[in-house]
Amino acid sequence: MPKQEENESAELVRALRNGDDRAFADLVRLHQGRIYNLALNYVKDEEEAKDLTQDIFITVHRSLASLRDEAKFGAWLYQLALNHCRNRYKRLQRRGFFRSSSVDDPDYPLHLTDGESPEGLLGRRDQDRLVRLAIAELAPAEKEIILLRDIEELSYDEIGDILAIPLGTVKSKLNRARLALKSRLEKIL
Amino acid sequence: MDCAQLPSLYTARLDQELTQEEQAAFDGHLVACADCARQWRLFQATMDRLYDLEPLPAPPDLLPGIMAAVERRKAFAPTWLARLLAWWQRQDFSVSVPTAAGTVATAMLLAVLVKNSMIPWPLAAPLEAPVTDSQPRASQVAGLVGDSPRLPLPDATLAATSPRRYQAPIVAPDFTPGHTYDTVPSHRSSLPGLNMQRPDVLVVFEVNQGDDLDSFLADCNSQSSWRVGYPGRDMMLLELPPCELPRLRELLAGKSAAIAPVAALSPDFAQDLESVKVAIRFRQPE
Repeated sequence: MPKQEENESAELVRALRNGDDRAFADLVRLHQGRIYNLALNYVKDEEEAKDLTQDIFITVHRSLASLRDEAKFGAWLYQLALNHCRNRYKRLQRRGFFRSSSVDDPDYPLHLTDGESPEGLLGRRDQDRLVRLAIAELAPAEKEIILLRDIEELSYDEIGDILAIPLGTVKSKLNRARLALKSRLEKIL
Repeated sequence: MDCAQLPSLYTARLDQELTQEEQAAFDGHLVACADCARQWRLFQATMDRLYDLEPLPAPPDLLPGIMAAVERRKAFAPTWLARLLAWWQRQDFSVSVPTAAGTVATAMLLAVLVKNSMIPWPLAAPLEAPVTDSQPRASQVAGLVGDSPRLPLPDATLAATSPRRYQAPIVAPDFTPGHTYDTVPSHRSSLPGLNMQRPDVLVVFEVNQGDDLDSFLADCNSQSSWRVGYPGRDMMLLELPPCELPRLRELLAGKSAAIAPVAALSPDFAQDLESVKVAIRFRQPE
């Protein structure tokens, strides 16, 4: 997370703790986009992502007292958001929610057969949708590290803090996750 | 550097974290190997796609929805009951089909094992029963009709044979403590119904040189109303009507044997039962 946003978040958290209720709306406004996109890339469904984001921020409001250091709000928010995403993903998976659509599924509306180029057939938005779908199909651990590094553009140290793993593990897991994504996206590259 | 090694270095190459030598080897391999060069280009293209991914704007009604939910929460400060209900609603009790099937199968297997007494249930009483002065002495327990010497038994072991509370006598002074009696059959009888984990009566039969064990066994087998099983080399199981207990005592008369509980010597013992389960343990003299 950019330093400026981190500082702004810390100020808002302090204000909220001092009784300024409007600070919470500003805090949500500042982070709702990234958390919504994180949720969307995790569960690949806009309605679920919206509901998930709402749950995450309600939990933020309820649990803010447990945050010790305001300067670490960003990492705390990501940890909380990933916990929510994991739980929701597991629940949806058990209910067969993800069974119907896949990049490789012939029934998927954006399915490409071998030899077809995506440029001619797909617009930018559709291509993005396929990339999001491929990310969402990764294993949770692979997905999380890709989202944090390549989408949220967090540093290796920040990722290590959020996922509670050493720096070397962050790098090796990231490489494996990227290779997994590459193999899923080869058809549309 | 070989083809298999290259993919593990993609991220390090992208981050320019390879040493000069490693980078030279990496790039050199790409020049020499067309397939690896193609794979590297695909990797770079993947990364470009990721970096180009445009974030979607948050839905316009997201912020109002969150603020409304927070306001609702503040307005109705939840009681402990409401909190409990909310917690309950948040729980996800759904399980996958394989998990549910596995749980049901395990429960059924356990039920069958318990029903067939392969797992004693309720668990046997503790081995060490408290000994008090008011309890009868060993010689009172180890008594059968006849003049043979009686073997005092460590009745704490007998107590483990049944959930009933047998009186544990004080061990006779001349008895050497430390003997253990495997009073619960460790093998299963082939006869259905004779797999008794908790016999009503336990007999410990000290086999002396003069005893004609074969004749005793033949006598038992010849009783038409007795069911006989041999779960192990040293164990014999009998199931007989309560009125046949005197006959068993006759067969044991003159032998060095002990019976527990003491009440089994009484003519009224187990009269209310349809049948009495007797475990006879044969013990060779040391």
